[in-house]
Amino acid sequence: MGTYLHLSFLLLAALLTSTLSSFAAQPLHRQIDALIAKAHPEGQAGLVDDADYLRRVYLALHGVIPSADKAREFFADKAPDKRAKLVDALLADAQLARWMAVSFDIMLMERRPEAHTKSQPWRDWLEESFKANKPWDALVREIVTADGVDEKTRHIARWLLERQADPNALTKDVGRVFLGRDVSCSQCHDHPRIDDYLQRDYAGIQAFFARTYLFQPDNKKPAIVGEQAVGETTYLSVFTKVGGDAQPRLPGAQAIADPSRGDWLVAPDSKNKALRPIPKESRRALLASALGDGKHPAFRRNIANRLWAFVFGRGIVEPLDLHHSANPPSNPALLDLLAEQVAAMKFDMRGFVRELALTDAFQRSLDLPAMPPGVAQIKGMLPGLQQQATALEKTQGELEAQFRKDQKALVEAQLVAEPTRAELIKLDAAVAAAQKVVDDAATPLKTAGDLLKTRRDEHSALLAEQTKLEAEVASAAPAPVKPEAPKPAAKPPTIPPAPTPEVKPPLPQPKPSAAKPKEQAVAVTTPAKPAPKPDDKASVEAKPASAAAAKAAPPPKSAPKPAPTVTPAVALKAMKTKVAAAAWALAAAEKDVETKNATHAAKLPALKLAQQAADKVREKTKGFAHGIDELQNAFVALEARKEAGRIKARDAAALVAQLKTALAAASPDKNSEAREALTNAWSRSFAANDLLPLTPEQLCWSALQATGQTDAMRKAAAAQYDAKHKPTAAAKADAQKQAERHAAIEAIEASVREKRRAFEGPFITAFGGAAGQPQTDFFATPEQALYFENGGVLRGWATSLATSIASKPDTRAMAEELYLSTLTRLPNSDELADVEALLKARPEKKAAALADYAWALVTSVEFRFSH
Amino acid sequence: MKPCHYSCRSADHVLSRRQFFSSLAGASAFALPGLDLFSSPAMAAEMSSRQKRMIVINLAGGLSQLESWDPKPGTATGGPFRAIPTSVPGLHISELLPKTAKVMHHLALVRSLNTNLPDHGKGTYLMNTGRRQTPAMEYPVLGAVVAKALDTGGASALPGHIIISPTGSGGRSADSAYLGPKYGSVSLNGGKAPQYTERPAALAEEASICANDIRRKLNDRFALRRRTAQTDAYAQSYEQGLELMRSRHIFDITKESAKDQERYGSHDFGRHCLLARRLVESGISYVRVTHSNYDTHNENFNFHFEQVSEFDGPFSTLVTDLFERGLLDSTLIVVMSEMGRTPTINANYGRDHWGKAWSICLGGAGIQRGAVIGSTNETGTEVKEREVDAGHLFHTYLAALGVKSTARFNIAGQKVPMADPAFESIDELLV
Repeated sequence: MGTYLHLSFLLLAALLTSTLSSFAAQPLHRQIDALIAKAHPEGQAGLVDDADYLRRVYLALHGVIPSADKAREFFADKAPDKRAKLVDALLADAQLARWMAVSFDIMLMERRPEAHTKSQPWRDWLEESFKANKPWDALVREIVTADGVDEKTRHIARWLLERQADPNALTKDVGRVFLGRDVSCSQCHDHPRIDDYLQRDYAGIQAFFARTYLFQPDNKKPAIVGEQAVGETTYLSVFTKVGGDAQPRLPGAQAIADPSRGDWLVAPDSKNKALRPIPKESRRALLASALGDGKHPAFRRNIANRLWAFVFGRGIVEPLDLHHSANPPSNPALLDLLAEQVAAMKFDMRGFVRELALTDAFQRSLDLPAMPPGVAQIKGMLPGLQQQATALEKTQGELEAQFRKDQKALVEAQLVAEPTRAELIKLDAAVAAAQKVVDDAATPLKTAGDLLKTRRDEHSALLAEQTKLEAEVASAAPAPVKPEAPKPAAKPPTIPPAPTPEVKPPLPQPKPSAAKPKEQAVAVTTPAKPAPKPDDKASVEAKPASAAAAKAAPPPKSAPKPAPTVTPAVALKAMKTKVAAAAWALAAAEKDVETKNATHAAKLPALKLAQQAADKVREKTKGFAHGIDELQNAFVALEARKEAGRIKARDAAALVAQLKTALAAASPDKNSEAREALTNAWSRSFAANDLLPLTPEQLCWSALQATGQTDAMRKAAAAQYDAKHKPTAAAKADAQKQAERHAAIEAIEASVREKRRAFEGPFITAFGGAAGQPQTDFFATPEQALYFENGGVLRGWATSLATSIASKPDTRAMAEELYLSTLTRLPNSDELADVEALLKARPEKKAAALADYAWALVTSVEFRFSH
Repeated sequence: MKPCHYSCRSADHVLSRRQFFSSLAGASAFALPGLDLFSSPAMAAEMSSRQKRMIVINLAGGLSQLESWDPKPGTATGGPFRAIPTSVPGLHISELLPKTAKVMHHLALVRSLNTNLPDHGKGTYLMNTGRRQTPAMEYPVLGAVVAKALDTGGASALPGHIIISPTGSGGRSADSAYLGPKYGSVSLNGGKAPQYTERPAALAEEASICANDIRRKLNDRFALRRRTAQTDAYAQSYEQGLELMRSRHIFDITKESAKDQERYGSHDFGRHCLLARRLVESGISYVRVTHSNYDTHNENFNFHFEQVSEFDGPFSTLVTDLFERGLLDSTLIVVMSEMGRTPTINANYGRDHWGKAWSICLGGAGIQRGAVIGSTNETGTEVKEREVDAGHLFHTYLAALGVKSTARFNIAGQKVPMADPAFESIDELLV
């Protein structure tokens, strides 16, 4: 630091005045720097010096610190573009793919054990994929559709198989790893703390896996991934008891129509359990296209953020799997840009990583300048920004007040409407009850009416017969019998002579209410219920009467057959008796109808009243509902405005706070709290570099590198090659032959890595997270320290480094080699003095003293962290 | 579920285990509290009022409930052994446990356990976590939960969760899931002190002192550039390691009296029980001792005769000692297996895996003395009353230790239930 002029602020000023199109025409790394500069008008940390840069870029792109020789070479290089050149060289090296494979393996598998698949072929496959620069979307498609059937590609199914192909485990990790959303808490209910994570989103992802299962009919044979042709996802909130069916759907996206109708490509065979059934339509294939078309915003943001974290050591959103509205990116515009660009670059990971590594942001120093470079400018800007923030806050305050007011109004309107609504429900129930009473009364009335009609018919039939008989009698004996005849016919005391008795249902048509025309219509046209209920008093009373009438009234058709011997006069007499009986029955039926009609009619006013009351209240509720709808619409619109305003106000306030912190940090009284706050703020938003722990692999590889173990392994590999091929002097001069030798040694690198892996185990045990747990968490335990203190391994390495250094001509050379090998930098004068003092104190045991020093360097904070 | 994040810079999250109190250098000047304090029972009693602890005796492979806590003599399933009376009137246990029978008034039994998982792996997971295994979620083991729940944030460099077994890595395990490595078990391989707590012969003490002095100086210098909770935690972890080396004697039972060593016996299990006593006296929250192996598919009766008899002496001695030292009221002691054994005796005079009706024994802190929960039918083939699941037991252990078992851990802002919310504690078993 310090050796590089801080130019980015000036650059920013130029950029800000340029047009948007020229912004887009810039290479991505310039656009990134411009967005970060825009977020930091107070300035940023300066660019880092060569030593920190070299160590950082090696750790980021190769996962290991550089050798002392490499450091010397880089420091000596005076080319102005040597950093960009180094980035390209590191990207072209096979170690990039190796390191990416390790990083992505840990990200995808989180150090799960080898229950079903081996880790190494999977990691090799990842390495091959990164070497071929396979795009991320393609990689994801392969991972989610793998089935592990073919022994040659079985390892690709590791992601699915080591999660036991369990739908919930896979749902959780599709959310976390591919979408950056840890949805696991929304399996049983909407996430209690994160508004964006919904249970139906969880169920939507789960629907892609609902048919997936671990297929292992024979325990002795390897498990593979099976899939059913049917199986749906349903969910029910354990809190709200609200649920539903879920179709396959990524969060926030449209549900995917599943073309499957349960057809099989290979149907299950109950006789052959070893046969893996294959559905015609695979839900996982649907997921591969839904995720792997690269269009889902969360998919883009996730990989953009993860690749950023791969290079920078931390994401723009942290934790990497908790993207949601209450956990915004440290630079929202930056993540938007990256998400868009990673897709525009067709998920070309190496190209994307290159852009990130070329940024100034990647070269920011860990050390903050004594005075934030933009302090002079922001002093002028601050009042304006403050005003702006205050105005936004005020507007937002008003908006929030309005929101609360509207919310209150809405709730109040609902509360005001509530009694009316409740009343209407009650009144409608009353109408229905009254209607039922009317309907119940209508049934016996209709039955009675029907009986009346029958009685009338019977009576008039008998009367007609009687008239006929009278005529016969009159013709046979014309004289005195006459007067009696019309009497019964003309004057049946209760029999109305009406020729067509009214039997039409005497139901008065109730006025169809506007509210319930349909039900009314139904009620009116509903045919009379089958039988009068036995508990219906009217019909119970009516029964004996009509029964008696039926008994008294002889069957109308069987009666008229008079015995041939019977004279007309006798027949007439008999007939008169019959007619009288029928008349009596008719009268009884009429009376019954009358009674029932009266009963029925008596029920009508109540119904009418109920209807009127309900209709009145109904009108009232309609008025309320209209008002509530309007309030609701306004409320939703306001809520959106409020949300947008909240983010704007939050960002403006954050900027003001950041600038104030910068000013406080620049104040002469060396406000250390403000300085720490600024350090954190800048580190979080990439205006300064953060101090980040090495991963277990980075730590192991770097310790091996620092203490000369890796070089020794390489040298041994080269010696092995030379011993076998015995290259002549001519061959050594021949470029072609040298390239061959180099390639062969490169191949032997594999064996170096094998050896290196043997050392990784204890580092991973001590420094890595538990299997299946996130691997990004930092912790420090005494076991780690004790492994280095007494484990023997690191002491041994330190001793071998010391031994090689002890032969150096003087103390300075020894000290320089020690520091370059371990910390990728030269010692400062104090440190040099320390080494000198140490060696002076133990002149007879220089190597042992140097070994102690080397051990201390590797166990130091400076070695443990990237800076 | 994550124990801590880069973004979280609170020292509480990054400092290892019980935060070490000393400054970066010169930690050796301080004595660790909780060490060597309990030379007298009175001191132990004083401590007992302050801190709860738990000892689990794991009878690996699956103890036969019929040859131990729930004998059924004279029935088709009962086997050859008799039942004997105990110090609790009316309570009988197998004659293979004569010494334990004499201390039963300190203990309690649960005889109606139905886990229905006749499998070593699944049963172990269930009894250890109180939950059934699911691929979607990994749960911390009992020791990790207890160590975290009882962690008072004190100054000890000692681990809170220790496993003593005949074999093991000697290092820290990743069995604490989302609770983080701080609560992972440290295994005392064969009863030896934790891995790497002894300076190798080849390394001179002066070399270690010199190297650590240089390390401190380098760290102090770098701290001027940037210092965070993480860098402090890393620097301090070395001081904790050195402190652990100095406290190594708490893992050494030869420091116990010759008489005590004799009382516990010279075999592994006896020595490990004595070590467990020493560890809880030193303030360690959770100690698990394993006694192996009870997986008696063949010759169940011969094997149980040997195994249970070997268990009986040290276990009853441990219970007696904890009582006499006033530690039983604050120390929960549980004897468990991953499952029971079949009532049916197979053709090889063995009993097979069984999870439907079996027993555990427990006592001490928070537990009713002499209580018997539940029962099985005459031949032990079914639970007759008060069926109990491993989930109930997990809640009960926590409740007995004075921890609200329905509480939740706050894991980086996420609330995670300590115990399976589908179950609750067995309240009639609690004091």
